[in-house]
Amino acid sequence: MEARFQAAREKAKRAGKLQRFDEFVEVVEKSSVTVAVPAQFGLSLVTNEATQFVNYEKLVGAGVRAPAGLQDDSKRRAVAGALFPSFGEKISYGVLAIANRGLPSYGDIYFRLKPKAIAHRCTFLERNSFDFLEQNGGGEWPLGYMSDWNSRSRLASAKLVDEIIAGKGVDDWDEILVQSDGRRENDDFIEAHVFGTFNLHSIEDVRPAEGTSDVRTKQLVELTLAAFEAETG
Amino acid sequence: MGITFSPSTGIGLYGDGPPHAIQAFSLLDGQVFDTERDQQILHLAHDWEEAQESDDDAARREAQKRVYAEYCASVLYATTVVKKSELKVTALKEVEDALVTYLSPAYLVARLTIAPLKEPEVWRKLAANAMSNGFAAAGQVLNEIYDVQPLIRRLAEHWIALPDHLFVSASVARDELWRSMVGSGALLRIARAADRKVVVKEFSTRAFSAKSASERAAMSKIGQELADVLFGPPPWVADDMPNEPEEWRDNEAVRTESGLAPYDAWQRALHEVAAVIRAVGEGNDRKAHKFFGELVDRQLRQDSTYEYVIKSICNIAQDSAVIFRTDFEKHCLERAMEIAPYDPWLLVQVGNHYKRTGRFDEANYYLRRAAEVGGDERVARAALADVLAQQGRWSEAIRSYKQIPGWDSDAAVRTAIADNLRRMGSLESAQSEYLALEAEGLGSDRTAAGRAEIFKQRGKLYEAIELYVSLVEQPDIEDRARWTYRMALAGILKQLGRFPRALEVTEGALQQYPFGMGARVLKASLLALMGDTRGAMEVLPDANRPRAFGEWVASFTHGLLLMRTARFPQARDELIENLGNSVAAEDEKLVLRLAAAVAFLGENDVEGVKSVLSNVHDIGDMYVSYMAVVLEYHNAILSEDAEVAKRLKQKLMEGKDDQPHLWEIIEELDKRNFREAVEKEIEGLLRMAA
Repeated sequence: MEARFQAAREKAKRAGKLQRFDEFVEVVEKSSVTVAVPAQFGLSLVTNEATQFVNYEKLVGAGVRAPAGLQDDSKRRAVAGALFPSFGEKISYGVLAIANRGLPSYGDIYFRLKPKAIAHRCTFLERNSFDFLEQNGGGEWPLGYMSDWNSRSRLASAKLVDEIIAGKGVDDWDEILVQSDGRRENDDFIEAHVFGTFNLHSIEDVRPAEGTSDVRTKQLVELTLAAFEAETG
Repeated sequence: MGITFSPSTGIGLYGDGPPHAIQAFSLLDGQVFDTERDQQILHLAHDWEEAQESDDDAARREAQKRVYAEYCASVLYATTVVKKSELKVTALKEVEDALVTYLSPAYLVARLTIAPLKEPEVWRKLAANAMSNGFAAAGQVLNEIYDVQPLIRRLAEHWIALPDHLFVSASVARDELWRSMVGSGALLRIARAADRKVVVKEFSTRAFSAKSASERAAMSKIGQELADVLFGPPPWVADDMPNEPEEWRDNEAVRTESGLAPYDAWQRALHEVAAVIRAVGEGNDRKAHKFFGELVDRQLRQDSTYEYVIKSICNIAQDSAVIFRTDFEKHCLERAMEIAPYDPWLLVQVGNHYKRTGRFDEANYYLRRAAEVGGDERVARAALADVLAQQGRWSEAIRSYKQIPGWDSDAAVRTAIADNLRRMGSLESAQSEYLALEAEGLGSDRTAAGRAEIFKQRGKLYEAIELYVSLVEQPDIEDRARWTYRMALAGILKQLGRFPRALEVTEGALQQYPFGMGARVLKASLLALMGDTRGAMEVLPDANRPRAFGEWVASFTHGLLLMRTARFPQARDELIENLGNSVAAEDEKLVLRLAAAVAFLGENDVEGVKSVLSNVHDIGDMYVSYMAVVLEYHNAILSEDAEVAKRLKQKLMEGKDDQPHLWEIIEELDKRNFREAVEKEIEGLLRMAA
């Protein structure tokens, strides 16, 4: 990773765009993970059942929404993905984003996660893991395409150096980091892998996805935004 | 056959798993996912569950039901915290749609009674909101959740206090067991259980499916312990409990099972009935159920015709109703119906029970049945007519009275017919009948009261007062009737603005029946009119959820008092909710509508006013009718509809001299003093609260 980053920086320097490159790195240091979710699920995430009831914890325990007992379910393991074969089912996916920009092809609403809640349990892959695996097969993967939280800006700048040099400014950087025309096959992004789940307390910001035209979905998104605001003050 | 699914995301997985293919899809909209490419979506799910049914379709339906229950729960939680009213309506519509299509109200109620609510009032208001927007299923669910709160709270407290060692043997955590009982509805069944058998049975079912003998034993033990704390130990353990009625201990003869003389047996039954009623009145249900069960069992053993046991039960039921314990009354009547479903006397009582609780259709059914199976047809037909009158079906009520053999020579029946003529607005015919009865020597205090009411309805309040004063002062009148006339007199005095005198008369009524809601409501409204709103609120604690017959007026007054303290939204919600739920006759509901209209006017909600006034029709009472037109005029001014305002003003001018207090509202409205107008409208309605 370090070699790729240094090579990219050298390229920017040669092109006379070192300052812009460094600015990009600095901005991405403040990035986080955005997760796009369907409206119905978004609503369930921002509502806090425990606050509605007396003695909720005593009666129900940690949470009625996550019962145990299906650890060995073969169906779940079948969809767990090949990237993390031994714990794939415990991974939540998102994208690296500077502001709260996400992939409308995956959901109606974007949740930006709090860095504090995920930094210690998050890794990044330069692109969609499905495409990456298709391209690189099931054997050894090339080095330099995955990062941890602390080196995510190096991964992003190494990937996007050409576009930074090509004259994109600060305002466009979120757009080059997360590119989508609404069709999944055309999406381009840095994929985030968060170990475990996230809940209302892990969410920093909520915003609607672009291009939602269905009235009912729009209303649900609006309800989700209002509920989030009410729950988090 | 089974589906693995995630309730929170609605993702479902079909198939046997590797090496066979897995199909992933949305149970909410049917969208199919690519199990490799769509990792971002599939991995949102972390709450996998399994639905096992006889075939794939059934499994899918079961999974879908659970997904929608989870979704509706989220939507309702969100609705309790968001402020924007349009969003609340959107959310309630979502729930309504789901209830109509995917899951039953009972299932959602079970899901949402997972623990006692922190703020049940919020849910009650949401129920009112749902009802007023036409979402009946959602409103029903929310109301039910609200209603069951005391039971869930009680169950939860006992559950938490159960000893830990019970769960250790059961090899299941306390919270896990509780949680498993939520979705299946077992929790709700236990909370609502009328006796320990229900509780024990629920846990026996669980014990049956336990994996080991020790687990089975532990499960049964939990059931027994829970039943003990909820209902006390079973009778064979409780024989030495010091809670039997004193009468039993004092009188050895009564304790003897056999060999009693008929008089002694009768005395014993009276004692037992009294003991049950006392326990019901004290709220000691455990004791009440125990005594009741013993009385019924003993009488069933001794009475092959069931005549006496039905009488005993009906007596207890009647007394329970008198002390507003309609729940225990219902319990008694259900038990009696199990024993003798064709007993005419019992059928009349069941019908009357439904009438008091506002379930007029059921009342109608049982009373018709009572009239058909024989017995005292007069009682059954008269009770049926009363129900029809409460439903505003006055002509049918009159027909029912006229089916009573010899009705035309029965003064009470003819008076009742005249009362119905009066209520349907045929004042002339009613007046003629009252006068005819009196001329034939069949007059009574009821005919005089009927004439007084006609004076009142025609706006001749002083004539009405004169008649009512003479009735109250009659020495040989029944207590209950005197109370009714006192109340009517106080109401008219109030309408005339003679508040101190009205209060004095009301205190007399209160002294007669200190716990009667009617007099308390009247006193509260008088105190409010005399400027003591706080005192008025203190007289009416918890009056916002009327369920018994005649108590709609408590809700009406409570709503007005809330408006007095500028709590218009709360008043509006309560009034609208009670409009749907109150046990009130149709003309009484119209008065509730007027109050709701003022609540909307307090918030300048023109559409709200239109929605509640759209069904108001002329009910024959001049004051009420005039008030309805005043409120319509107010709304026309608010919505700047000059043409309608002009038309209504002309109508109001005609009654100006008869209604000087209400005319003051028009004067305020003409000056566009809306706040003052609303205050006077509240005052005008408070004058009706009696």
